[in-house]
Amino acid sequence: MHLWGLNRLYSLLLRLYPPHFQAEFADEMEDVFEEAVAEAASRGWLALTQTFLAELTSLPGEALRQYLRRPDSSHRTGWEGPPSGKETLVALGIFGLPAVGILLNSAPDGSTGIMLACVGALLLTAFLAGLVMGFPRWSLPYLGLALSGISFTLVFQQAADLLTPSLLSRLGIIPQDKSTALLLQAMWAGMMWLSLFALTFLVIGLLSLLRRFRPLIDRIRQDWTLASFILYSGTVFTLLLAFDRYGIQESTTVTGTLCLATGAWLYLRSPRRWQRALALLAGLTLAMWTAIASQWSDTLILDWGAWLHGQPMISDRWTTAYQGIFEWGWMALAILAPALLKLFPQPGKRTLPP
Amino acid sequence: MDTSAETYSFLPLTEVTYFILISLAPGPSHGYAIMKDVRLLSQGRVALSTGTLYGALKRLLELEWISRNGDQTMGASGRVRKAYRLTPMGKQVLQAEVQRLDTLVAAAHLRAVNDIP
Repeated sequence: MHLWGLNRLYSLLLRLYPPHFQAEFADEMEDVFEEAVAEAASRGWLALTQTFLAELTSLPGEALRQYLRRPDSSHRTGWEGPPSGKETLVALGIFGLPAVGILLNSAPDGSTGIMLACVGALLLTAFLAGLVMGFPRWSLPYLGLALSGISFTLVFQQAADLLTPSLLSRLGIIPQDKSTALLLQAMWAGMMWLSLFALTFLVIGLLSLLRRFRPLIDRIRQDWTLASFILYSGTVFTLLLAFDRYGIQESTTVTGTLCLATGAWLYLRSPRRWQRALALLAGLTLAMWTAIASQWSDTLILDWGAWLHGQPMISDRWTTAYQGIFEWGWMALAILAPALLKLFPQPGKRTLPP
Repeated sequence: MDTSAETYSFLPLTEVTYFILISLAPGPSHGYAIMKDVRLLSQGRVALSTGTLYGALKRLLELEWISRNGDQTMGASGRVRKAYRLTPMGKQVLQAEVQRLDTLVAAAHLRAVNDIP
């Protein structure tokens, strides 16, 4: 009778597993459990208790693992399947940051610090949860955001100091000619993205040395668009900086990040690699050109008098607008560059986790 | 034995995977038999819970290292017992792992590790 009670309890606990897992294995697991406890019971109460406790304590962790794992049928295309609602919400949450920033700006003085702390805590929690789980797909935007923050503050800022006017004049480049100024802007725009790109692949290289992250590295080697997704998420940070530099209005900022979020959503739902790459490129292009168009229209309004009389534009904001085009170009290049990973040998099917 | 680079990319195997594949090497077996066999082969060191066993079996099915056996027997509960067997890929991976372990042990014997004072 007591074994019937244990078996019944186990059957109820099996409902902790995902539905597809229950459909496939629940019957077998109930049978195996029944045999295991019956055999343990034949050896005495102590053996029965040990066996039952071992089953009970391992079940929640194993059930959670099944929720976190994706079916491994994606080794041909690298696609991890359509995301669940929760995965989509968490992955796209990062693209709501600019809207949060706008809210913070308009919040009462006393509450800004608290809201900032809450947002920071949520971002950190998501990043750490991703780190512990070996960076599943939903956590890659948080990794991208962290890397873009580090690359801007530690790498780009240091590198940008090298391009001082005095250095340039020593090299014989005097930034007074329009074409030279454009060249400098192109280089300036590229530096931020090159530093993010370099840092991302440095981190990926370091992670590949750790056994825990080998499944992530294998996934990236099977599907290079995962690396693109990490870099794409870095656009949130750099786009905010760019918009701030251009003096873009808040409505344009929100529109731009909505474009990024749409690109990310399409990425998650695209089964083919070229579709995923195109989704990221489209989201990026829409976001950046929204900003560029906005700045150009503002500049046009400033210079409309000169434009109407056929005179040269006098505003120097045009050169800043060109920088937006350069930045877009560099971003697109950085996002597509992981395709070069295809030149490296592909791994086999995915390994079992440690 | 064809041990391609792809096979070696899966090594080393975890103990759970290794013992399950070993258990299936002689022929098809069902869940509870695998569980008992693993405990026997590991001399009691690896005691699989039902959840751990079926989590591993699911993973091995996805990797196509094992497959469900066509022959099914009726269990005491009246439900059909599903058996599993090694696939050629699973056999290849297991052989590669055994070869790897043989190399390690041979190196230890070469240096008379057991005779170290």
